[in-house]
Amino acid sequence: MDVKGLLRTEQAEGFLAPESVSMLTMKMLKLGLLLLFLSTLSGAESLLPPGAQTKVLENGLKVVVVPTDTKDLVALQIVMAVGSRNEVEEGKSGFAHFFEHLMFRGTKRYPPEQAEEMLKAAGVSSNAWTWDDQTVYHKVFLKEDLEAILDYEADRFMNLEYQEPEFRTEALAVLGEYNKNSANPTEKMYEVLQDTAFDVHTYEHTTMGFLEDIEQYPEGYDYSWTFFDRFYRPEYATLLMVGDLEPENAFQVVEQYFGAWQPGSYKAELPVEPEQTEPRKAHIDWESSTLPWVMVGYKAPPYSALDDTAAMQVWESLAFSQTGSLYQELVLEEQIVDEFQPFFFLKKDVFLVGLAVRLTDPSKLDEVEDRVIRAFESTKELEITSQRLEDVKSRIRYSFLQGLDSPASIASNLAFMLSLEPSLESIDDFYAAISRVTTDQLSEVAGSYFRPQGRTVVTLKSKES
Amino acid sequence: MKFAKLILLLLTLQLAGAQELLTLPGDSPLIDVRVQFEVGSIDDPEGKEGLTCLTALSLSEAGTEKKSYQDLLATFYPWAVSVDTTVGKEMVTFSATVHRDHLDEFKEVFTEMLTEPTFSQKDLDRLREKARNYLTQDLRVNNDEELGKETLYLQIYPRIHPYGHHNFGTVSGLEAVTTDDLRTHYRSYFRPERMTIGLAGGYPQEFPKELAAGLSVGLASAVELPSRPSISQPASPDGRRFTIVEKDTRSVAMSLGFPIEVNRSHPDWAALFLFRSFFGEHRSSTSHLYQRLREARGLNYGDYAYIEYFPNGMYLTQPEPNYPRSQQIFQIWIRPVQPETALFTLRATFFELEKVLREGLTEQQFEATRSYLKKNAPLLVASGSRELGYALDSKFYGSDPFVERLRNDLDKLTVDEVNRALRKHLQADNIEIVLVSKDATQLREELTAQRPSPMEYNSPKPQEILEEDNVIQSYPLKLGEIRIVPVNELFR
Repeated sequence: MDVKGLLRTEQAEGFLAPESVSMLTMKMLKLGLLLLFLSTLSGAESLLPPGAQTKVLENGLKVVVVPTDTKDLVALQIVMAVGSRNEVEEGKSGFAHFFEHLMFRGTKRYPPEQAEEMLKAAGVSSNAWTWDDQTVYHKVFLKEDLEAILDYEADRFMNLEYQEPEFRTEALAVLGEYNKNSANPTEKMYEVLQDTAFDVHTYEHTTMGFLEDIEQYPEGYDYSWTFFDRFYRPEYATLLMVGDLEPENAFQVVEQYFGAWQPGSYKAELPVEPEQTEPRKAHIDWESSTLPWVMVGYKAPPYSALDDTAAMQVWESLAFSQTGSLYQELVLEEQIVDEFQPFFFLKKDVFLVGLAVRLTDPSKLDEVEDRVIRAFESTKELEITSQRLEDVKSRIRYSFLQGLDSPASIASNLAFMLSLEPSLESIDDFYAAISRVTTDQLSEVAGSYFRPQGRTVVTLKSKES
Repeated sequence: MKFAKLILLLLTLQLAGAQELLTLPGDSPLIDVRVQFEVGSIDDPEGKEGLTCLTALSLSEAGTEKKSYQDLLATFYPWAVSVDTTVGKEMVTFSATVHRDHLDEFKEVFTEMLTEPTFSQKDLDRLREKARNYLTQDLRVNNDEELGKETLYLQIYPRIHPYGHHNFGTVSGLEAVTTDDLRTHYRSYFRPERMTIGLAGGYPQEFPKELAAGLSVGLASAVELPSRPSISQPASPDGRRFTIVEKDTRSVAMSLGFPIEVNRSHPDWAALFLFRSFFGEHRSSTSHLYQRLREARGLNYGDYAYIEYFPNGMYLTQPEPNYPRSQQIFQIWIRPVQPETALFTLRATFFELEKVLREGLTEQQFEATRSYLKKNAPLLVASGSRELGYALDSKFYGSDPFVERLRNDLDKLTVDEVNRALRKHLQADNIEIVLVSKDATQLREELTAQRPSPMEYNSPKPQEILEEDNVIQSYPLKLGEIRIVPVNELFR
């Protein structure tokens, strides 16, 4: 209905003003990820667009170029392997996202007004987003402006400059961003889900960060330079360009502008999350009137556990699609749920897989919670026919093909995967793993991850009810 | 690949059965299909507001005579296909992107969906709940910004105006719709005489005619063609009219606007399009309001201006096509601000609007914005699906293809023409202002007290800003009527 309004989480594509990414809005990236799935899931052929090439510069910067036959258009994504996962220090939750904002504060050569002028004259579509494991800066523009854009980008990644007054003002814009999100109950639910499911790992906070930390940002000017010095280094970066390009020329131009970027040495010591040993639960009393929500999450494999992750991805698509039995019962048949939002995201460390639902009948809260839990924990015995498995692989294949409709969408799909593991080969490895998934493997993965001791449940109800 | 559309050929054919066909043939294996009907929320009968929305959804998200909705989902699943529905004021559009491998099968199923809907009570109950919860949950509860914008439209278009309710209807109107209503509405409005079929991509040569033939046979209706309401420009608000929507929320969301006579078919459209880009390009840090309110003062997350309806702006970087409207409004969207700075922000907004109306754009501002728009325009239609959507909109407005038209108009435009157009069509005195806020009574008192609202910053500001703030903090609000509306009274 403007159905688009109802399906908003599945349609957004990129953000303009610098933005943090909630799990909810990242539904779209997950869809993007699906788009990437191997076009030849049953074969060994590469899914990557033909002609894609990689080069690592001497300073460690990885450069990926994907030529397409779209006349004149170029999509650029600079992928930094830093996100809220790296926020190990007390009181600094959300800082990676705040820093993303600061990257738009200019340099000596390009003070903000001048940068705006240049980008405006070039008609550039420009923005950035931050999530747990990555910060991605993206632009789309016409090829004739390629050098001007690379010059600007290289300058800000090497020579960022801002003074404390602008820094303090930008901190307020981040608070404004928190405010604009805060009316939505699911934003709060993800915040509580992560905080409940994790004790020490940085995944315990969302990318936006805790409100009390955001309110302290104006005092963090000096720390912001520590952050820049640590992470905005070529070894943390992958530069991806898709469009009307010839790879060798493109590498040369990138080298010309980014060759002088000095590598650093910092590595964050991430706390190791102890294994969860019993089910966890939290409840939110929502101040204003709302229908109730239930969110059920389980600890899920990290990206590096390739076969388990691939099986989990397929499993989630099978069990919680609109053709799955839980959706059909709760939404179509009984109509006691109207929002049905499964989630599973590829992450560097153990994160969460799960489902969020909104109930149309508040009296069924306990019942729906039980049924969602059962849908996960009884799937160990669930029969998955080979036809269903073929269907999901076909869906994945055609979703991928649908994603090849513009340089910008190819670039955003690749950028997400490169942020997890900066090599084109690793993407093929992942999709090869998807193609190998068997029904037995699905049962094994469900059996080992969907156990009560890995479960976290968050419920939300209106206070007045 | 889809975007490798080398041949850009736009054909509009008048076929037997009176429906129109609009094609953008290319060599992409992905085929974009958009089928549009001349029906919208303006055609909802009184007391059944939402009937068009529910009828449209009954075609795209419900069962047919032969297949349940579950069967349809199962058929589409391996193809990764879904049929999306856009319900606007004057048009309903169904859209899908299908790989060539499934095109023939898709044609059969899609034709069946549009021509043999079953209108079961069970599907209606589900779709009604979905539409109602959009109004009562997604707007009233979850999203103060979209709430503010939709409320602004309802203040500008009175209930008796054909635009006087949300595209999805009202809570009571949705409640009143029966399956018989759906059947009648469907037979009256979803018919070949009022259909345009749009196709883009590498479809087989015969495909357009085959799809058109199947749809026009299946949709043929003997019912008399209903007349459509005439859509007049509503009266301008009398003075500055404030509506404070009261709900529990952390911050204050703001939307301001008034009706304009300019739509895409108006000769001044390009001039106003350029002005709104300069003043408040959507989600762009280069625009004027954003620079003054967010960049210089940190008041919020962003500040934008529009001359066309643009729903779901917080999730989109570009407007979705296929919400064509004969009537549009000029609108300013101020993203949520801290309650203590609400008054100052409002004054700053009026200060900037009045200033630009008084001074106009400079030659340099004009040239910079024109350059931006000329280069940015192709990015708006970078996929086949978007290009097709824009082509349908151009057909509605009777204008040339979007990029070509915009570039041609921009080439001819001068700064004087832009300044003349903005003074002719825009003003700051008769305007609706919607504020979504927690303590409405207190906010009303602050407004009516007319006290200065000085800013306190967390960092030193340039002298130029402080001097401007001195003016803004006491800037006349020119208050008109102020109404308080509890959020639960909206969309009823």
